[in-house]
Amino acid sequence: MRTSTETFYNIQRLHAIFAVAALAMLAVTVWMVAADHRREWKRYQRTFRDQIEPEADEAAARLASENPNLDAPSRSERAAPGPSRFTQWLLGLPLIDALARPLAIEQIWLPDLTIDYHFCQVARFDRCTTCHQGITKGWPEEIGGRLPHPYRPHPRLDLYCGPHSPHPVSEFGCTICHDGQGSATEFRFASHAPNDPRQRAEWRQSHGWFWNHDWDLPMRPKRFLQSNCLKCHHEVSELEPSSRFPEPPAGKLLAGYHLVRRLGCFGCHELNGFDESGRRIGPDLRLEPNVHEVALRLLADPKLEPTARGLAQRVIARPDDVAARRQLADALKGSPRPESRVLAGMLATENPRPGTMRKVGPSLRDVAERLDAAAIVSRIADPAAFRPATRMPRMFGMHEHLEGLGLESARRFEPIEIRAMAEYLLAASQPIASLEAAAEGPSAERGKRWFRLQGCLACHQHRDFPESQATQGPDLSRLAVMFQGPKAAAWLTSWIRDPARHSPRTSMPGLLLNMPSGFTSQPKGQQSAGEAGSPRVEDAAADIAAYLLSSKDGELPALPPLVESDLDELALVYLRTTFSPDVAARHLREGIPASMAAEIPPDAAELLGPMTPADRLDKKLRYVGRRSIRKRGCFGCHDVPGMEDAAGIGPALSGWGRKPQSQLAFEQVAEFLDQRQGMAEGGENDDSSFYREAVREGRREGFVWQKLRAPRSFDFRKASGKPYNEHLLMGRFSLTEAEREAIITFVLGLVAEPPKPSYVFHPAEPTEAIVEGRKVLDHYGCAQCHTLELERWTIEYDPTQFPSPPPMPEHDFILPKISEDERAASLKVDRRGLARVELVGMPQVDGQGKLEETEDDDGDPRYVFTLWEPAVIAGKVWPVGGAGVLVAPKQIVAKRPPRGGDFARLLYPVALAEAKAAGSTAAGSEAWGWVPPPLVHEGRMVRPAWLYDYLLAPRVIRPAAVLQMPNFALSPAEARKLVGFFAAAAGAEFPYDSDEGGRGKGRVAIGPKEIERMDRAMRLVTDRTTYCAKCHLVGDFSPGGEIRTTLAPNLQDVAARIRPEFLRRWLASPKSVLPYTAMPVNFPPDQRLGQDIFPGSSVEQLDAVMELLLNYDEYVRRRVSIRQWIEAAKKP
Amino acid sequence: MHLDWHEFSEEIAATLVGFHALGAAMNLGAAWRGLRGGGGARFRAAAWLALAALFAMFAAWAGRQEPPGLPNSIKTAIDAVLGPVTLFFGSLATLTVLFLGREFFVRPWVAWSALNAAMLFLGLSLADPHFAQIVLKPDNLPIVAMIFLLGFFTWLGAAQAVENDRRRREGQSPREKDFAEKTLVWPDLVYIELICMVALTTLLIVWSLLVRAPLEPPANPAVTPNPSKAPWYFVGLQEMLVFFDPAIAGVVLPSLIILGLALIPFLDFKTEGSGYYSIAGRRFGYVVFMFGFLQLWILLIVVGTFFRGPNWSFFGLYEPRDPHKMPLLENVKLAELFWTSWLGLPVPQPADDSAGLARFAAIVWREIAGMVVLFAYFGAIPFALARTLMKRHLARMGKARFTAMILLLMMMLVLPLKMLLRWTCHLSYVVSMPEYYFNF
Repeated sequence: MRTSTETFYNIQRLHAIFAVAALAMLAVTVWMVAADHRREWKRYQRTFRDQIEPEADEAAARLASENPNLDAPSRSERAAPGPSRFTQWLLGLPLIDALARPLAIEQIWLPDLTIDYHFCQVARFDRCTTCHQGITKGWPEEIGGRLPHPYRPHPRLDLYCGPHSPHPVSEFGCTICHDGQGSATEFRFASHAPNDPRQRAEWRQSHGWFWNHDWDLPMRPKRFLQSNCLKCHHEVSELEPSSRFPEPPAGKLLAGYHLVRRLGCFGCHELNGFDESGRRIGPDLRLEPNVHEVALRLLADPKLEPTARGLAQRVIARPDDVAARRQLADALKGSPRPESRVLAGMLATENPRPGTMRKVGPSLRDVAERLDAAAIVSRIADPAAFRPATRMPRMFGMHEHLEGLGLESARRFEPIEIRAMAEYLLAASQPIASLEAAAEGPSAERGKRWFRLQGCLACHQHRDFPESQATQGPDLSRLAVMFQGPKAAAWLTSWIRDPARHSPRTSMPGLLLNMPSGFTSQPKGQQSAGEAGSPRVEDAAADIAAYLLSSKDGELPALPPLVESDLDELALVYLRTTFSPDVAARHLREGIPASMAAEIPPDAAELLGPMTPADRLDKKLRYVGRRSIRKRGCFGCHDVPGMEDAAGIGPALSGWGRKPQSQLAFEQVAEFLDQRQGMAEGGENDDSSFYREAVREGRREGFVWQKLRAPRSFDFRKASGKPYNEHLLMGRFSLTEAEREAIITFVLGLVAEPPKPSYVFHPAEPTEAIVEGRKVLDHYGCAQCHTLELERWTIEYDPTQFPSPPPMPEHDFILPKISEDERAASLKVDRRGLARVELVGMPQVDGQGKLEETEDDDGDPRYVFTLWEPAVIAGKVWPVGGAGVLVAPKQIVAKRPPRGGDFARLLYPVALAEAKAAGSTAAGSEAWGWVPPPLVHEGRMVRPAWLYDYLLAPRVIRPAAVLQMPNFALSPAEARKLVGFFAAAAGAEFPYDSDEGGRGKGRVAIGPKEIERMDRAMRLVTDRTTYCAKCHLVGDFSPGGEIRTTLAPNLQDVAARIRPEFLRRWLASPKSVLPYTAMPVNFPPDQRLGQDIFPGSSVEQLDAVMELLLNYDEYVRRRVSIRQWIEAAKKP
Repeated sequence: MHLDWHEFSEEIAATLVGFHALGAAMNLGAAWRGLRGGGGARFRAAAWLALAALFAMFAAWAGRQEPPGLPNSIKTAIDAVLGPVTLFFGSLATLTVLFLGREFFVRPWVAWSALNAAMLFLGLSLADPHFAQIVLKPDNLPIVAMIFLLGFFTWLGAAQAVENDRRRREGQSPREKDFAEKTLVWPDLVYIELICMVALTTLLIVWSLLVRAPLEPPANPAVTPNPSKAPWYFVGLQEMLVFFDPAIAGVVLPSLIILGLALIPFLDFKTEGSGYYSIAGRRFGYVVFMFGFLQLWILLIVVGTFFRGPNWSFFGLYEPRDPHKMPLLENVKLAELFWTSWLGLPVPQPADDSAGLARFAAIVWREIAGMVVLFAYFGAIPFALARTLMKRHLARMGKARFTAMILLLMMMLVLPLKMLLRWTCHLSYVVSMPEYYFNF
């Protein structure tokens, strides 16, 4: 068709415009293709494929060839049969790379690890490995660890990502732990979260990073990574280092968890581990039901019936006794007193999953017995003034955020509140009669010695003994300042003797103070000990009390004057929350009529009845005090009489880690930080600048940080606008920056988002026993005295130079079994020709508790390491109980300290010195036998049934020990958990089925032949010159003597106590079980001893003695003739 | 949310460099054109050159991350001055001035100056994080573009109308008559369509490469976004909800808008000035339409988009969008004003046990003042107008058409009147009968 020549527009011009438009379109199309070709993840994949991976593989192979000690890494699969370089180049060209897929987005589909898209569970797609290409590469640390991000392998492949780790990446993906937007394929949209402002600035520069506020789950900054462990590890204590993962898997999180437990955050904030349907959602730290408090309250009523009184006492002793609780509730139902009926209702409340945590503060139920008003006031007003490391938060006098009206009301009302609370506590205090003191007067000098020897320092600190840093109990240095009441000394004595009598739920044990100790040597002139079992005359508890109250430094500040008009005003503020203003004023003037008793809130009961001029002030103080205590939640930590019905005042924290950030009431905190707490505090790299930014941006971590740091500052500019009664209440705890961060880590992890049950950590039985037992151990501080895991040293040595162990004769069944592989492994050396071994045991210490140093032949220093587990060094087996391994300081690569036993190590030199002073000539290592023993083998050694009984009612086993196991008033359930823990920790058989039917393993039917053999064995046992009776108590016999450091356990209890399979080993070679024991080898394999008493081989002797000990009861029964007694009785 | 000034400057730098460079390029182009002209054009070309230099300088500053911005005092002053009332009257006054002085304002160099002023204002304001946060939000980009497009097309229409009016005065036929006798499909129409297609495709690709799709967080049925805004074309309707009962603002008024637009051909049957741009020939129709469109529709969209923040509170352009800023709610109903404030009596309420007619009568009695006002507004005022000012309209249109037209007009005027009553007297409803779901 011919084109028309007629045009309206200038066609030439249109051509020009068209040309420009077409060129522009071509240009932007090229731009589009280039933008796709240069996508971030494609660049990363190309770099990894062409450069990083081949180089790292090569370096790893080189390293492996030089160092046979390392397993050669398998070459990367992709590198081996890949396409040719040309094909790769061709396929990688722009535009073509979109069609063929040499580079591809990699994703892990996790249908069971869903993301909560608000009421809708959506499968998780993690594309992180698209860029993080090397994440599972097992390159050695010195190669992989130096690679730049995103190519670096995961730093803990033993724990994460690796196919043999507990969390393989193919099953867990990445974002379940890290959070962030897993489906993103660009750095800035994956919601990476910088760990500090420096990293933030760096990322902004290099990646255009920004906070993506549209993604609710930003990645955890590195410092809070461990938070997400809580999603699946609900019991938390399972994250403690274990034999499989000796490097702590979640140290900061655990620190936070222990702090929350220690500080008792759950007193105010509910930490419920279950949702409404009973599904487990996180750590469960709830207060136990306060039935014992209710029962204690009932006991205060003098008109309580005797049956109910008896039931109440049962409930107090055993709050978990459901039957007693129900009976008590039933008995009270018909009570004429309304208060009793209310209490009965609380007792009758059934909770299918009651909490288990105890209140962390001391009981205030009998506070008037020990403290007076001045002491209570000063303690409340500023807890840290009396005890800097106190757990009690500061509740008053935090005014830095206040101004104007708010400041004025705080200044006026706070002293009133403090005073009123003290008055209420004193008035409501329920006296509990103290135990009678002993006849002889107390001595502070003796008390100081007892204080050190009887284990007080295991839990408490005292400035006289700066070597103890225990924090299980309070610092007792300045007790005398507080305890000034006339009854305080008597109360303290009574408390030390039987704490549970005054506070049934205290974790302080009753010390077995009146039990005989091996150390009878008293200060001159007071030698008063008799034979074993006879009580002392003087009262150690009174001595300790006298010591604690002897040095008083400082005075309590005098009570500030009470401004009655302010008291009235505050009382009115409180009353007006219930009554109209004029009624409130009338009630305050005239008292609340008794007829209204049933309608008013419980606290107003303090104002019931007509007011007289005499009691007007007291009544008002009591009312205000009671209201203040209720408002401020003191009962979250303390047992406060009259507050049995109160519930924690803080918001629940389960699920807080996912609370929408828009719902966090930051109020004017950012301004407060800028204005009042100055930016000068932290520079760019300071930690606080990270949190300050978090506050400015309204993020959760900033919120908790500021809440822990200056909890009331959220009232900045707000306090003046609201009534005094509505000011914020959270107290300030004394925390270090690291502690604060640990708590933040824990709280951020409370997301209440458990994945599918198959992902939630359900430990196998032994692990579960360990997890459960650890909680009990932690609660009672067992590890303060007992070592639960021994010290471990990793040493490097030259196998050609290392000496062989000295030969030691040993029975075959004692010798450790070592496989050829282990032997070969101990000879493998690295490039420097050095091999490695881990030693488990105790390094030898001197009389001061310092590491003992000896010299080798060349005069170089050497430490002596006593093995508790056999070690294979340079192809030779070093058995337990043999010579110590000499270790040069420079050979030590790593030292892992022991777990627990701090106090035992503290006491060791003390006990040694005491024994030496008493004239003992025992060898140094034997002193370990006088201090609390390590319990690493406990589960393998003792029978569970015996241990259970012993934990519930401890008694003396080792008369030589300096201090005896105190009575912790454990519940049967707790004792069971501990028994399970020890068995599981030692890898012993549990439950121990041979205890069934009371007929334990090792029992034999005793016939004439056995009797005869046992008689001969009995002669060995009772031989006082060489054999057992030289040291051991046997039945009613005691070797006695002035110096009793050698006294050994009574042999009549062995059958019930010791597992038979263990007993044989012990008798044959005591040192192979307990390297420090003083017990000699009585049945050496290479000699025949004691042939005059028991002819036969040493194994025969050994087995006979074992048979006797295991059948001791039966044997004695056979040998004791009742007929003789009767015949003897017949004689005149 | 607190913004870090330094980081913001870094983030905004590239955008501002581009923006100011565009301003410089535009003015360079204008100057080049002007230099080829003569006389006044040359003089103006110098001005465009100076502006281009200014824009270039701004671009350079922005590139060094020191973006030029308005001083804080001016920003505070603007925020203090800009309120609903000033916006409404300010825009009304501006439109009036533009209308009256249209002969002057339609001149290209004046329009160009206005465009430059708008760009300078936008460019300088973008250096403010709070302003940038709203204006550069990906959702709001089309609205910003719309403002410029609207200005351009309004100018274009007005310019042609002014030109036609001049021609009419001089006895010539309208411009369209001269040029639009026939349009060639080939090559003209097809060619420019092709060019448009290519240019628009280019624009879309560039847009998609530069601006991410505005994705927000996963929807949460338990949390409503604050503020929760309608799509941009409905933001005006949403703004009406501030002043009216949802039934009126959401149903009655939109229906009437559609009805009114549909009725235009029947109500406006004047042939003069029809088929081409003209103002002089149809002054009444032009003014009513432009008032309704620009003042009552576009302005509301602009207010809803740029001035409404969390809780639908009114915010200044440079003010942080603080969700805690709560408007003081002190609105009163006419019945309360009438009975309590003016008569000093308690507001009469229907007895609790009353029902049926008695109840209805009691409620009507309570609302009697509002009823009278409504009756006067929709009855008496149109009647009076028909007798006086709009006598000619009535005569020309006939009773039926005039009644429909005047009622629609009165309905349209309800909106600004209600807004004014709210702003000045805090009046919420003239008639409030929630018992019958009727509030007006």
